[in-house]
This record gives sequence, C-alpha cells and structure tokens, in this order.
Amino acid sequence: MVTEATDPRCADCSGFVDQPLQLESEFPGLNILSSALGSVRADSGWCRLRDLIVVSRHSCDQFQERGEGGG
Amino acid sequence: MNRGYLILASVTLLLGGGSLYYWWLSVEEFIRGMVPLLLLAVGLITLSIGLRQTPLLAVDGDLDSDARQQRRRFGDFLLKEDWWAIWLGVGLVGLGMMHLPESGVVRADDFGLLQLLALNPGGLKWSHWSQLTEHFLTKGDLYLLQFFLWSLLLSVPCRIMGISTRPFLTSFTLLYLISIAVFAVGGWVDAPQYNLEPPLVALIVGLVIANTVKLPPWLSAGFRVEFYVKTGIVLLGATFPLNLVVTAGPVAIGQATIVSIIGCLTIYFVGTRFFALDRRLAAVLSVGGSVCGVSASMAIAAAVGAKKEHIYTSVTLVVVWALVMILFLPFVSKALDLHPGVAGAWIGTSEFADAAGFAAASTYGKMAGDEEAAIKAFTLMKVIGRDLWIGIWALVWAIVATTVWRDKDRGDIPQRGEIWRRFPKFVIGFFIASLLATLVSNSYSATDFVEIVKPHLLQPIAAVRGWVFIFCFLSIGLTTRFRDLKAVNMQTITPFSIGVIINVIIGFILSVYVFGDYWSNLS
Repeated sequence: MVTEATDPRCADCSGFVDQPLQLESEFPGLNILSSALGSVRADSGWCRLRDLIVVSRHSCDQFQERGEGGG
Repeated sequence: MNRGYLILASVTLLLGGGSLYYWWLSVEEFIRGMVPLLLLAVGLITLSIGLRQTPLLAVDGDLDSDARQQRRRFGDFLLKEDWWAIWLGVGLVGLGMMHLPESGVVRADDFGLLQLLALNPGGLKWSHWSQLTEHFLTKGDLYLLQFFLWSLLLSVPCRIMGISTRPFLTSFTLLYLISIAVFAVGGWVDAPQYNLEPPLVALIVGLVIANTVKLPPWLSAGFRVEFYVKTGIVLLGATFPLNLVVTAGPVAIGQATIVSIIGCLTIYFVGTRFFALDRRLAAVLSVGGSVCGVSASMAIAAAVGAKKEHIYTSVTLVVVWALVMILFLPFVSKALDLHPGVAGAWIGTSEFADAAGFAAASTYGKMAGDEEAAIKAFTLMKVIGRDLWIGIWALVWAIVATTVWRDKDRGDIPQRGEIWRRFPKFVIGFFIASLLATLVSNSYSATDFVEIVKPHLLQPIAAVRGWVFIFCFLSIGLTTRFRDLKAVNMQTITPFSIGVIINVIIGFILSVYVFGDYWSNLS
C-alpha cells in the first residue's frame, strides 16, 4: 500500500527513478512538448519495481535501499 | 572542489566580467571585446572542470546516493527550468532597464548586451543574396559574440540542471546555425508570399532533419523545448502591460475553464464508458488533451497512480495532435480571415502544449501582419487561463482517486500543497517582467516612451524573445522522431480525438462569436 511517510521514502529507494535526464530517456518523447525538468512534475518519479508514477514522499512495502538493489 | 581551480576561475571570471562591462559600452572595438570573452570562457571551463564532482554541477546520472540528497537541498530554484527561465528572462529585462536613458538624446550607436542578443537577419527584407552576404560580412564579429553570449547564458543553467556542457554546446551550435538560416529565410522580401513564416519553417526543417537523418541521442542535449518556451514567455511579460493581464485575465480564465472542463470530462467519460479505457489512462489523457499536454499528464500521473505506458501513450497523442493543429489552425484562420487576436484566443483554447501553441499563434500572427495581437491573446488564454491551474487539476484527480475510486493502493494522497508544488513557476516570471516593464513605461512621458523605451527596451526584448522561440520551434521538430513514439490503438485515439475536436469547436464558438469583439479589440 502506498502511504505518506517520512522514512523510508520512495526518494531513497533503488527502484525510484526521478533524475530528469534518466526519466526523459525512460519515457521517449517526453522532452518533445514537455520536460522532466519542469516544475509541474514536482517530485514525481517512476517506480520501476511497481511500474507506477509516484511522488518521492511516499513509501511502500517493496522499498529497497539504494545499493541493495543496484540503484 | 580543487582550490587551485577555484582561485583561477575566480580571477578570470572577475577580470572577464569587469572587462566585459567596459567593453559593451563600445562594442565596435572588437579586440577589446574578445579579451574579456576569452577570459570568461577560460574561467568558465576551469570552473566547470573544478566543480564537476560537486553535487550542484554533477551531470545528471553520475550521482551516488549521498550526492543525490545533497543536490536536492539546492532546491527547485537551481534545479528546475521554470526558475532558470525566470532568472534568465527577468535578468535580461532588468539589464535592459538599467541601461535605459532617463530622457534626452539617445546615441544612434547605443548598442548594449540586449541589442547584441537581439541581432538577427529577420527584418532585412532582402531581395538578392548579395544583401544577405553583405549583412553577415559586416556583422560577422557581432554574430560571433552573440553566439558566445547565447551559449554562455543557456549552457550554465543547463549544466546546473544536470546536462553535460560538451554535448549541450555541440547541440546548441547546430541549433544556433539553423536558427540564423531560418531568420534569413524569414527576412526574404517574398517570404510572406510563400508562407515562409519563421516559426513554421523552423518546425518543418527540424522535423525533416529529425526524421531523415539519424542524429545521435546525445545531440538532443541542447534541444530544450520547454526551457526555451518558458524563457520566451517570461520575456513576453515585458511587452505585456500589466493592466491588460488584469482586465483580460478573467475573460481568458472563464473561457479556458469552460473548454478545459468540457474537454476533460469528454475524454474521460467517452474513454471509460464507450472504449473501456483504464480509468487511470483516461484521466491522464483527459488532462493531456484539455489542460496542458504531457506536462498536465505527468502532473496528475502520481495523483491517479498512472503507469509508464499511460504517459507514453499521452506523449504520442499529444505530439501528433499538437503538430496537426500547428499546421491546421493558422491556415484555417487565414482562410476565414480571422482577426489575429481572435485566432490567438482560438489557438489558446485548442492547442494543449505551450510550445506548439506559440508556434501556431506566432505563425498566424505573422501571416496576418500582427504577431503581437495573436501572441497576446494566446498567452492570456493558454498561460493565464489554463496553465495556472495544473496544480488544482492534480489535487482534484487525487481527491477523485482516493474518495470516488477508493484506490488507496495506487492513488496519491490529496494535499493542498500540491497546488503550489505543481504550479508552473515560470508564470511568476511573466508577471514580474510585466510589472517591471509597466512601471518603467509609466515613468516616461508618452513621447519618451515612443523614442526611448520602445526602441531601446521593448523592441530588443521582443527580438530576443524571437530568438528563444525559434530555438524552441526548431527543438520541437528536432526532438520529434516519429519512429520513437509509442504505437497507439483506436481505443485510445478515438476518445482523445473526440475531446480535442470538441475543444476546437467550442473554442472557435467562444473566441469568434461569444467573445469575438473582445479578442479583436485586445490592446
């Protein structure tokens, strides 16, 4: 279940992709008429473990600390 | 950071900046101008090498876990392109204002940084190649300096946002050279006769190159469509009187709200009721086709728990429809002989991506001989009327996902803070630029406004804006590689297209028949 949490958060999870250029390469065409560097994306990112768009403040029971899962 | 690099960088940057200040008072002395620029270039390269391992200037993707956390602390002010559009746009407006004479005689050779950035062959009205050649031969040194300045102004923010400098500069060099060519085509005396409007030429040239030549992926580093369009919108604020925003804003918001709500609900309900679309996909497409394209889709994606393929689908539909409308709306407006203000408002309610809309509005404005009217109406409708409310849409969809769908396993938890978090911050820069220019304009007499403010501030700013818009339109073409777009089926194409067509029709009725007088008298 996705919950609002302080720690551990998606931001610290190895499955969470939120670096702008990495996101743009994961979503071909995103940079044509939009951008991963824009304010409207805020802290949203892509969770590659669950294939969901989530915000970095969230947490879930599939959390993997960076380094453990290679991210 | 290595202390040696820091010291060397500081010294060269100080020398370069100081020299540049004195140089731009007498720009014709080219040699004196090159020295500070070379010093600045050395300083920046040194700084770049020295700082590349620090979190702020590390290239996106090269960061370890600790560095990522440190980088986040710098905040959106340095890491989001909206804020950089503000720093750059408002900075250029401020620079122009600082060097504006209070009154009296203005030297004919008064040529500052703003004028240097504004220089282009678009206004030549040349009829023979020799005129064009002569222009570049006599002003070649200024174009070289202009290229350095644009490179500097754009590469530093991009570097801080995580884009490698070397690919950016290579990419930007290509962009700059094609832009010069596009301006030159636009400056041909017979260009209007063949509809060779620079925005349209830029877009088509970009599309042809991107889809016939296999460009390496790294070359896209400088094709930052959104960064350029946001900077252009901030600069646009300077030529947009604040009272126009205040008086026309409510009408624009009213018209845009009607269209956005009808378009959004149409796509969502047609998609879920008649085409059995996943409701998350339907939600993502509904805002994409009615509010602000892929940016709106991305903004609400977390709120509804969308998947990667949902965004990917939105990208394809938004890009294809946006391009169709760039090519379709200006020519239909011309066939119907619409007033540029009316056409701008119509384009503003029909196009869902800012960059695409500016291309269409600017193209028709140039066709009709009043680009400012088309762009002003478009900006009011799209930027003020629709973009401002993205955060509210994200909040509404979060509430729907958690209370109506009761999909707590996937949806985002609604928070009021979402409105500000997803607010398109570059709009703040638009208002600041508008406020500054309005205050300056009001401090001059009517005569001085015409003789000083207009030619020495507003016109150069409009020309600088022309440059960033051409960078933007070219970048749209150069990044649109149809082979990279996701194939979509009729199940998604149909509801999205129905929503878009309804938007176009309602937008036309509102812009032409309901508020037609209003948009044609916008000034």
